[in-house]
Amino acid sequence: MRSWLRLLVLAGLSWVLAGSSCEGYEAVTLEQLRQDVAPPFDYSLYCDEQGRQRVKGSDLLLVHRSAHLEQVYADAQRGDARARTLFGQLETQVAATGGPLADQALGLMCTSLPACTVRWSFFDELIPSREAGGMRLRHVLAQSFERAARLKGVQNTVLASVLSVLMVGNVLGQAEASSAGAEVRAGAAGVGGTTARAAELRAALPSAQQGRITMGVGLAEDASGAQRVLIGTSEPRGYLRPGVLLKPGETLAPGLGHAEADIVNFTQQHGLRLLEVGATRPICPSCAAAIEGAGAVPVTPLKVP
Amino acid sequence: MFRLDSLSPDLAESFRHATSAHRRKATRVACTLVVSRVGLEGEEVVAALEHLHQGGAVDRDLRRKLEKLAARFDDEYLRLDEEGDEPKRPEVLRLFSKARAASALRFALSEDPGQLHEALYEALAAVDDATEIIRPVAEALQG
Repeated sequence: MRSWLRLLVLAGLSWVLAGSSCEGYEAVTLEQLRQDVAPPFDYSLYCDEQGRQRVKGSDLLLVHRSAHLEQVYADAQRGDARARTLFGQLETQVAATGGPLADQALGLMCTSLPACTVRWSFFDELIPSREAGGMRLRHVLAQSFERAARLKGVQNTVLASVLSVLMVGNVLGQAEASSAGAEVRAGAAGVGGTTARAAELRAALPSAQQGRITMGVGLAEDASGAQRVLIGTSEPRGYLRPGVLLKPGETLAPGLGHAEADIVNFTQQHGLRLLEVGATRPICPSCAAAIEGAGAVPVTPLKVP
Repeated sequence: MFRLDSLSPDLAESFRHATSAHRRKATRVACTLVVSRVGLEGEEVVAALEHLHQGGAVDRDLRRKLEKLAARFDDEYLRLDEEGDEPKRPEVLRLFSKARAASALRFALSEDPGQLHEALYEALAAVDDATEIIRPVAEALQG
C-alpha cells in the first residue's frame, strides 16, 4: 500500500517538475502505465473475495484503467461489499497522498509558485477517468491536499489553481471546478465517505500522535433507515486532539476500548444497524471480528496478525 | 464548531455569547479546579495559575514549558496505554488527566480570548465527571 503512495508522489512530482525550476526528485518513469493494455475486467485482477488488494501495484493499474475503475465505483454505489472495500482502499491511499504532495510541492521544494502547481495536470494521466469514480478520487485528493496546504498557510489563489487543475484539468475553469467538486461532494456521504472521513481524521491528528492514537468512523442506520456517522477514538473520555472536530451531524461514540469496538458497542446500545467501519490505523483482528460480527464491513486496511 | 461542542454544547454556546472578561474568568475557574482535582504540580503550574489570577502580558516561555509538561504526560500515558495492561488503567487515566490539565493551562494563557474554549475543553476532559466543572464554569461565563 505504501509503495503505491510513494510511487504516486515521486512519479507525480518528478513528472510535474521535470524541466521546471524545482529539482531534486528521483525520476520515475510512467512508461509501464502508458503501455498498459487493460484485460477484460475481473475483480481478481485487483483484490481477493473480500476486496482486499492482492497484488502490489494493482491498485495503481486500477486507477489508471478508467473502465475498470468506473465498474468498481458503480458496483460500490450499488452496495457491493467487495467493491466498497476495494474503492475505499483507493480513497484512503489517494487521501494520504495530499499531505506529502503539499509538503513537497508547496512547502519544501518549490519556490516558484504557482508555476509548479499549475502543472499538476499529470494527474490526468494517472487518473484519466472523468466519470464519477475518477472524479471522486480527484475530489478526495483535492480535499486532502487543500487541508494540508491550508495548514501551511498557502494562499487561496495558489490553492484555487491547484484544485482547478485537479478537478478540471486547467487553471481557467474555476466555476466548473467548484461545480464538479460540489457534485462529487454530494455523493460522498454514500460510498467511500467512511474511508475518506477516516483519512481526514488521520490528517487532522497531530503528527506526534498519528501512530499512537486510533480514530474510527462508523456508518450506521436507525430503524427508519436514516444514516448516522459515528466517530470513535482510542483516547479516554472520547477526547479529541486539538484540530480534530466533529462535523455537523456526527456523533461521538466514546468508550474504554479500541475506537472501532467502541463504535460497535455504541450501535448496539442505541439500536443502530452498523453498515461499515473505517479507522485511521489498520484495524486489529479483534475489532475486525467485532465489526463483522455486527454485520458490518471494515472498509479500511486490516492489521496483519 | 468547537471541540467543546462535543462535550457540552450548552457550555460552548454560553462561551460564544460571553464577553472576553467572562471567558477569562471562566477559564481561570476551570483551570484552578482541574489542577486541584488531578493533583498537577510544578513551578510552571504555579506560575500559570498566578498569571491567570493577576493577568498581564503572556509569558511565551511559560506557555512552552506547559506545552512540554503536557507532552511529557501524554507520552507517559500513551506508553502505558500501549502496554494494554488492564490493572494499569487507573494510572493511564491519571496521566491522561494530568496531560489535559497541563494542556488546559497552556490554552488558558492564549492571547486571544476567542481561543479560550480550547482551555475549557481540555479542563473538562481532565476529569471523569465533567458536570462538576461545567456548573461553575457556566456561572462564570454568565458573569
